[in-house]
This record gives sequence, structure tokens and C-alpha cells, in this order.
Amino acid sequence: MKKSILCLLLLAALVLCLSGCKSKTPAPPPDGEVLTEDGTGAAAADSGEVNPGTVGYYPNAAPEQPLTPVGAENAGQPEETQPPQEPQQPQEPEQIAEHEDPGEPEEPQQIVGYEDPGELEEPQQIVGYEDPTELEGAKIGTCTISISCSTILNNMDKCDPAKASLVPATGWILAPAAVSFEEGESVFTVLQRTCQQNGIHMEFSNAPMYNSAYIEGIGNLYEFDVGELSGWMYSVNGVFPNYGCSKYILQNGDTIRWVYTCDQGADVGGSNFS
Amino acid sequence: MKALFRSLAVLLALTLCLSGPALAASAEDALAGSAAYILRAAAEPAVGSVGGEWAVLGLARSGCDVPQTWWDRYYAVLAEEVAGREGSFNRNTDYARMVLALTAMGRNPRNVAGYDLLAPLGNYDSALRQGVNGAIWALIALDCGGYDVPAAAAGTQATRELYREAILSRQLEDGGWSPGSRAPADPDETAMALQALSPYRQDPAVAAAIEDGLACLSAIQNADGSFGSSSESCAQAVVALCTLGIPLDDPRFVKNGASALDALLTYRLADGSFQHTMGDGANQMASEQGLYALAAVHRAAEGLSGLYDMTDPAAAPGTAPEQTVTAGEMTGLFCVFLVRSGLL
Repeated sequence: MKKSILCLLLLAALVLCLSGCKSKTPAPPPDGEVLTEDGTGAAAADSGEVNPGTVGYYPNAAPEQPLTPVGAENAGQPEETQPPQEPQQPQEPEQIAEHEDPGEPEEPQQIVGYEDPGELEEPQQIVGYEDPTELEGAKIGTCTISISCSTILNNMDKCDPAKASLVPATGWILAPAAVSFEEGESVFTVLQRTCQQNGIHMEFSNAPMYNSAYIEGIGNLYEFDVGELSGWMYSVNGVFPNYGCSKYILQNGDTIRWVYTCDQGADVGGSNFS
Repeated sequence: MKALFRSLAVLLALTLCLSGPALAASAEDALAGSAAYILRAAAEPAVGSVGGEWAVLGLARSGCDVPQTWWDRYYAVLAEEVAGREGSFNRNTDYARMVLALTAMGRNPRNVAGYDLLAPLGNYDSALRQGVNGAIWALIALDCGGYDVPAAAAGTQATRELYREAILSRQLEDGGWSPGSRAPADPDETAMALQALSPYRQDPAVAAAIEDGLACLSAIQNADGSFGSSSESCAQAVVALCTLGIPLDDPRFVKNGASALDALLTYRLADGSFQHTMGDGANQMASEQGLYALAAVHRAAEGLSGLYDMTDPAAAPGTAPEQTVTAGEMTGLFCVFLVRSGLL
């Protein structure tokens, strides 16, 4: 008895209340107003950690990676004997040292295990997939990828002393190299595969619903290693996208540049962190 | 039966309450819907600044009902990550973020899988690698649980004074702050610096810095009440005002009739999510910051402790709470009722 009266009362009160609530629902965003994206908000808040945390983690090059390090036999120096988290361990110097002409970094340089860039127009076998049959019918593209930290050379005073020895004299962690990709692949997957194949350390963070990886460190050089405005950024065909590298779907002939900035992008021609 | 009866009574009470001020009611509704959204979007919580610690903070401080299994799931994922990385993360703000989340849910940050996640905040040099942002979040994390500053294993021993001084000394000419500590002021960093300084506002030097910071924040507020160009900037401003005990309708922070909260809510979508910028659809980072900003509004309206003031352990939801109905839980129960009934 008492209960049913209470319920009735409740119902009546709720109906009243809800009719009020409805009218107080926040207005939908005004149409037509598109604010310029500058990424500042996201970046700053992420700093609360202003930046994505860590889900994907590549302790070091080949041995512990979840993906098969295909072409490892061509990947240059064997990494297996290196302690997995030793930041002092230079990964790339040997490889970089092979560059004969550091003065002309823009020139595409062939990487062991990749086809000659001069032959890129022909359809070709993909290095890096174990099972070529999986690729039958898939459209193949070619892009150029490079990884440079040359800005650090001008900022050695700000460089974490423990990291100084990791900075290649040429600034190249990976000189421009032609690589193949499957249709629909992103800047991230190509970076990931290229690093694996060349024994280059890379760590990214991710979250299931974030839909993009955030590159924290390459070649054991991390954001904040060279001052509070330092970190990795990428450009495609000279443009720095303001969204994550997993969301950039490659087109045939794209030129990807991963660059380390010591000044929030100002020293590499961009304005946002990756 | 008794519990059911109590919830009904609570509902009735709440129903009557809700005929109160329109602003508070609309923010409360938004809070419930946004909490429900985050629970759906981050159903499988992760470790990281998206879909992880900020979701934990927002939900924990919202007072909304969250299944114990969700807290447990986050903790298990965190413990696994911490163990896998042997307690080592790249940035000091990673530790600050995890300390905030753990404290909010009532768990001990000094022992996660055997690792002390608070300890790195004792290293001043390491925190300052991230500039003023590192100092801000180290201080907020230390203060959220009233923790003693841990002994530094390496580098300069941090103190609260050192962190505070690092923030004060990086204040810009115009009274604001920016990530690189150079003009112009950045709305997010300015708001976050104010949040960090808030517990020290009895100190005359800090009080003066806060006044200058508020003047700057007011000056860079847009004509529509928003800040910067994203909802996150609005969210940080809302949190700063609530933390400092400044009413959201303070004339300094109302532009053309729109407050920072009004501006924030324009980014909110019907499903409870927030957009990063207008028209770009739900964004997880924006949604998490939007949620905890609404939680800050809710807590200020209810006279509860500030968003980042978790020194009262009874407030933590992740530790199997007693069956007592607090003001926060009342709101929470109502949130859940509305959501489950499909009314929101």
C-alpha cells in the first residue's frame, strides 16, 4: 500500500523533473562553425600527462617484438646480444656510418634489403611479408621514408648527456629509403615495419579507442631528451599533419619524413607535435 | 529490499532538489550522461593519457556509480603494465597521471605490482625535463593525496617549494603560462598552473601570481566564452575556476552572456561525448577532460572537496564502499537510474 503510493509519487515527480531536464539539455553545436585546429589543447592536456601513455612498447629492436621481424637477416647488425632497455646502446651508428655522403642527406639512399629506388615503378615483391600469398590482389605502393634527428646537432647543449652518444654525426637515423606498402597502410605501419627491418628501436603509445599511435622514441631518443619542447614529428610531402600517424593513409609516391624537433616544430618547419 | 527502498527515497529527494537552479541542473544532467559515455567508450580501460587514467579520475570524482569490476579491470591492466615495464615510464607526467588515478580510486600508488609510482616525483630534475608542465603535474599529484615528497633516488631532491617556485618563475609577462614558457600565454597551461597553485593561495606571492594568472585567463577568453580553440581549453579553465572557488558566472569569465561552462557544453554531443573542435565528432581525450570538468562543477556546487583534493579517503570509489548514501552517491544513483531507464 504504502509502497504503491510512494511509487506513484515518485513517478509524478520524475515526470515533472524530466520535462524540466529536457529543456535544459545543452544546445547542439552551432552549425557552420569550424574552429581552426591547432592541437594545442590536446597537446597541453595530454601533458597532464600531456601525452598518451604507454601501451605498445618496443623495448628494443628485434628480439621481443610482437610482429615477425621479417628480413632480419638483412637488418644490419644483430641486436640479440644487447640488453633490452639499455639506453646507452647505440643502435644505429654502424648503419649511419655507412653513409658516404653526409653532406647530401636529401638523396635517397638504398637500404639493404630494399629494392633499388630506381626500379620503384614496377610492381614488385614486398620484402617484409612472410607469406606473399596474403598479398595477392593487394595493391602495392611505394613511398620514401627517412628518420632524422639533425636538429639535435645544433642543440647539443640541451641534450640529455646520457643520450648524446646516440645522436648520429650525420643526423640520420635512417636516410631516405624507398619502401613498399600495401594499399590502406598508414604512416605508422610503415614506420613500424621499417624500424623492425632495420633494427631501429622505436617506442609508441596507444590506446584502444584513440585510433592512433603516438611516437615516443626512435633510436632511443625520446621526447624531452633535448629540452622541454623536443619530440618526434612527421611530415608527408612537406606537410605536417595535425593528427596521428596511424590515421595518415599513404598514397603512392608519398615522402614521409620523421624528424626530431627541439623547438615544438619551429625548427623543422611544422607547428605541432606529432 | 531496504536498499531498494532507500534508493527510492533518494530518488524522490533528488527529484525535488532538481527543481533548483537551471545551471546546476543542466551540468548535473550532463555529468551523468558523460560519465555513462566514458564507461561505454573506455569499457576496457588502458594505461595512458587516453582511455586510462583520466577516465578513472573523471569517473571517480563524478560520484556516478561505476561497477567495482571496472575499477578492478583498470587496476589489473595498470599492474600488468607496471610489472611489464619494471616500474619504468618515460615521462614524469606518466607517474603523476597514474598517482592521480590511483588516489582517486582509493588505491595506493606507492605499491603497484611492487613498484612505487610516487617515488619518481621526488626527482626535481626529471620532472623539470618537461618544463613548467612537469612541475605543475608533479605538484598536483603530490598534493592530491597529501603525500610526503619522496626521497630522490637521483637528481635534485624535489620539494613542494621548488615545484611551486618553478611554476612562479615561469609565469609570463602577461600573467599566463605556456608549455615552452614563452609568450603568448596558452590557455590550457595557464589554467593548469592555476590548478596547481590553488592549495597555496594563502601565500602572498602565490596569491599575487594567481591574480595575475586569472587576469590573463580572463583576457584571453574568447568572445563566445570559450578558450583557445578546443573544448579541452574550456575544460581546463572550468577546472581552474572551480578549484579556486571562483563562481562560473564571475563577471571576469562571462563573455557576451556565455561562461566557460556554457562554452564547454557547446562541444558536448547528445551521447555525452565531447568534441575536440566544433564539428569533428566525439573525441576521447576531449570527452575525458569534459567529464572531469563537469565533475569539478558538480563538486563545487555540492560543496565537496575539489577535483584534485582527494585527501579524504572516504571519497574514493574503487575500494568497495560502505552502504551509506552520501550526497555524491545520491547524485550517482540518480545518474544510473536515468541512464538505465534510457532517459539520457
